[in-house]
Formats: sequence, structure tokens, C-alpha cells
Amino acid sequence: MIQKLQCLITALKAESEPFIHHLKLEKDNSFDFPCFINQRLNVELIGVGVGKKKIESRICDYLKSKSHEIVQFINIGVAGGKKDKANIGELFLINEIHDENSTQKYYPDILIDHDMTESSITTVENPIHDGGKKYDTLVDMEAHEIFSICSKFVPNHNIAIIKLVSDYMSGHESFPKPSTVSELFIEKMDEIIHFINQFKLIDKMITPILFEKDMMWVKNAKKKYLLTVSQVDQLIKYAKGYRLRNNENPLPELEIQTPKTKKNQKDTFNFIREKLKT
Amino acid sequence: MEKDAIEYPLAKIALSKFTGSTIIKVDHYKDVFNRKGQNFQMQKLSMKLILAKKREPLLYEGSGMIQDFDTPNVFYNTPILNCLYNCDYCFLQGMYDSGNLVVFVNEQDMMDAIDARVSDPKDSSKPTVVSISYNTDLLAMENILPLSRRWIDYVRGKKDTIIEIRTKSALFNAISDMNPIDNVILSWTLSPENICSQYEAAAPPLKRRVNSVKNALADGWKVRLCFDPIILVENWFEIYSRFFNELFVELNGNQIKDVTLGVFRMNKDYFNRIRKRDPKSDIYFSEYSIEKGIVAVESQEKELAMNEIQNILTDFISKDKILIWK
Repeated sequence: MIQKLQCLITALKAESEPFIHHLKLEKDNSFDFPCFINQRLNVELIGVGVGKKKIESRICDYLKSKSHEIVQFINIGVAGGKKDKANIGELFLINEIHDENSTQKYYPDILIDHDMTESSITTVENPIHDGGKKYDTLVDMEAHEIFSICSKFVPNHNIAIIKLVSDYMSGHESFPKPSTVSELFIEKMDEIIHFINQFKLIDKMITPILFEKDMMWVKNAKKKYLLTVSQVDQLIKYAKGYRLRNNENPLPELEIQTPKTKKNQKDTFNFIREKLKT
Repeated sequence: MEKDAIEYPLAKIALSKFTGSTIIKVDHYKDVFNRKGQNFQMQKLSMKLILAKKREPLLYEGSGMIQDFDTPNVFYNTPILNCLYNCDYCFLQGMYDSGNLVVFVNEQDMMDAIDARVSDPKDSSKPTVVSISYNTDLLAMENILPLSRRWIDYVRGKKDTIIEIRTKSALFNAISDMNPIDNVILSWTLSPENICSQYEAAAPPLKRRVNSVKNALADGWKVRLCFDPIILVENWFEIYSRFFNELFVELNGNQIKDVTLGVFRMNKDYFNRIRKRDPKSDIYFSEYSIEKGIVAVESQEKELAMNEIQNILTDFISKDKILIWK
């Protein structure tokens, strides 16, 4: 089973610090933006700054060195809430993402059981100071762009947006100090970590048909029997059929000579194919 | 839930059944159902219910994938998209990107569309047959939403309209208080027990389906049996022979309206889409031929199998009641 790599995405230093500390993440200096890793836990964190402008470039740079199939993105950050709907420090899992400047909405695919309250969110360009009169949802400055970019690379069910209500959007002075933001996250750390651990299990719900050793068998067959790209595609298909019909039995031993001619190569492939039909 | 669906009675019933659920209001169900980046099989493990309003088309021409029912007036509609069950051979996996269920709450609009079509049939000497459970298993949902009941009530007294409710469910008891009517066909898909457990794992076991069939027959309903798809596994002849022999000890073939037969077949695009998604079923890694865009068992093998199965079945049911997909 390939291990999932979880990438936490934060905007503010005050949001990232509690996680860097709790997950014992260490700075990765190979990026020219904040990136912290813990290889043992397979957790990493990148900082994308406030607002939308750096999100795309940083996520793309981050992904250059990763295999997209194994990455899960979790945006963790603060949001403004309505006084009558949310308490300061309350956590929400986002199920619908609006943008004040776009008609495009996103719906994260929440496939795991969780204990958080779900909410929709609206991403805005500039901070709101009027109590969020215009908005019936939580309000932040990144979620829409983060989902938009991440969903180009990974399936929806591998993206989660967690928001903690930090203020009621009632002016600069009402926004908490960085240390207070960090404290709010520390208070909710167990809940967030529990979610992250559960989220990691999603892909275990469905496992690939071929085992790692099967893929190695295919790789060896390709090399030894000089198979073409199209033959390898077919071989994988037949190997999957074999695997499904034969449970955990190993793929068959192929004690045949490396082909010397084109015809010989085709015959060899047909022989392997017949073996896999059993 | 679509904003337009909120006020419909069926939406209210659904909400009353899921009181603890989180409701997300959407403009159009396709915003969620057709979004990019979904995984059908993963969603099947955590299905969501989408309530929506069906827009045109409300009625579709009968599919070439189903048997010929001796009338050109054959249609289907889609009160629900997707199915509670998730049978390995089902085309829905390839038809939709989403494994979630869409229930259309404006069933009256769909009924009106049928009335309009019945009033202008292709062949006025024949009835209009509408399959209302083509992209779903309607009866399987009956404990959640009384859709089969509503459709049966709708068609009562409409002598030119026949509806077929195809199912694998064991929920006949959910409608057993209703008086049977001639223009409703309750169709059960039945397969040998080992086929059920291997390829229809989420559907009720054979025994429970057969009990439902027996009860429906005893109450006087018209029942069709669908041996479709016949899966040509190793020893299929012995497996299906034993199955029919045991089945028709339980059921009286004379009471059955008709049976349908067909081998596994699927639209090529759906088949390829499913295979790309790494399905855990050997069905998608077997040998087939492709004819006119349909992936199916090679035609000689198909004919041989259908003839053999038909021969066994004629011991229990008259040949003219056996409808074969060709």
C-alpha cells in the first residue's frame, strides 16, 4: 500500500505554527516559500500567504517534486463567522465554497465520518469589517482558490478545508492577535489531528487490483520479452483479470526465452497472454 | 438539494427520513452530480442523496439494450439516477461520474409526460410500456421514498399504459397492501446464488428475492423474471441448470408473465470507462467482441448460451413467454 502524503496548507504563520510544533515538522529549505516536513509521519505543510495571489505558484512548485496520486491537501485556516451562527474558536468542515467574484462553486467530497459541523464558505478579496452583512456563510480569503488549484491535481475526496472561526468581521481591532489565533488552534488540535488521521484512511477504502509485486512482474516481463507499449497495456489488463480470478496466487512463472525475431516476440506475448487467461 | 426541489412533497418526505443530515442547497443537481474529480466507487461507500427537479426530457425512447416487448411504444424514464446496489456488471458505473443517488421529486411532471405520449402512440393498437426503474432499483428505495407506490397509483385505471418496475429488492412487503393491477409488471432480476454473491454483493440474497416473487404472485401481481445478465462463468451450464431446477420448485412457471434472457453486454464507452477505473470484477477483464458500439459475449457463444438456457427454461415455462436479447 502506497503511503498517502498529507499536505497542510495555511495562510498565516499563526495558523501554521501550532501544527509545525505539534507534528514536529522541520523546515525544508529546497523551496523558496515556507515548507515544513515530517517524513516519518508523511505530513508536510506549506504556507501560501494571505489572499489568492501566491496560491497557484506555490502549490504547483510544491507538486513538481511529488506524485499527485499520493497527495492529500488539507487547508487549515481562520475564517470570519456570523455572530449568531458561530462561536469564536469553533471548527467547521467546509462542504461548499463560493467566491464573491465568481459563479464557480466547489463542493468538497466528504466521504469519511467526522464530528465537525459542516458549513459553506465565501472567499473574498479584501477583509470584511461590517460584520459580514452580505454573507450568509463563513468568510475567508483563500479556500476557493486553494480548492480550484488543488482539484486540478487530485480528486475532490483528497481535498479538505477546515476553518476555525477567529472573529466576527467587525473591524481590524476585532481580529485576534497572532498568538491568540495560535492558541485557538492549539485548543482544537486533538480534533483536527483526529480528522487528519481519518482523512488519511480514505484511499484504503479502495485498493488497487494489482499488488506491488504484480507490477514488478509486469515490469520484468516488459524488459525480458521486449514488449511494446501497447502490449504492456494489454498485459496489465490480463494481469488484472488473473489477479481477480486467482486471489493472492502469484502471477505465473514465465520460463521462456527472450525473443529473437519480431514474430518470435509476438508469439511470446501471445503465450504470456494465454497463461494469464487461466 | 436543488433550491427548486424544496417545496415538493417527495422532498419533504426525504428530509423527514434523514433528520440528522446536513443539507447543502444547490442551484442544479449537475453542479454536484457531474462535477469533475469524483470517484464512483469511493462515493458508493458513502452515498449521498441528491434531491432535484427533473427537466426535459422527462421520457426517453426504449433502449436497444433491452428485449423487444412486442410493441413499438416502449419508453423509460428516470425517477432516480443510480442505485442503492452496485452490481459489478451494471452500466451505471460507466454512465455516471458520481456514485451518489439523485431522486427527482417532481414525479407528477414525469407522469404527465407519459400521458402526453400515450395520447399519441407510434402504434395505437398496442399499449405503451414504460420502464420506470431503468437507471435505478426503485423498489429498493421504497422504505425511504414511496415511489413505486406512487407510480402504481398513477397507472391504476390507465389501460393503455403499462409500467415495469425492475428490481433485485426483497421489499415487496412495502407495497403488499396495494391491490394488484394488470398494467404493472413487477420484474425481478434473479441469478444463481454464487453469481449473486460474486457479482451482486450489495443486493439481497437470492432466497429473499424469491420470497418476494412468491408473495407478489400469491397476491395476484404480474411478475416478470429477468435472468439478465446470464454470466458465462466456468460451468455456467451446470450452475444455471441447477438454479432453474431449484427455482421452479419454488415458483410455478405458469404464473409467471414472462421471462427475459440476455448475456452480459454494455455500451463500449461505458465499458472502457469502467475498466479504466480499476473495477474489482473479472467481468471487465474477460474476452468480448464489440459490435455496433456494444461490448458483449462473442455472438456464437451468446447464441449457444441463449439456446441452451432457453432449452432448460422451456421445461418450466412456455417458449412464447421467453424474451431474448439478440
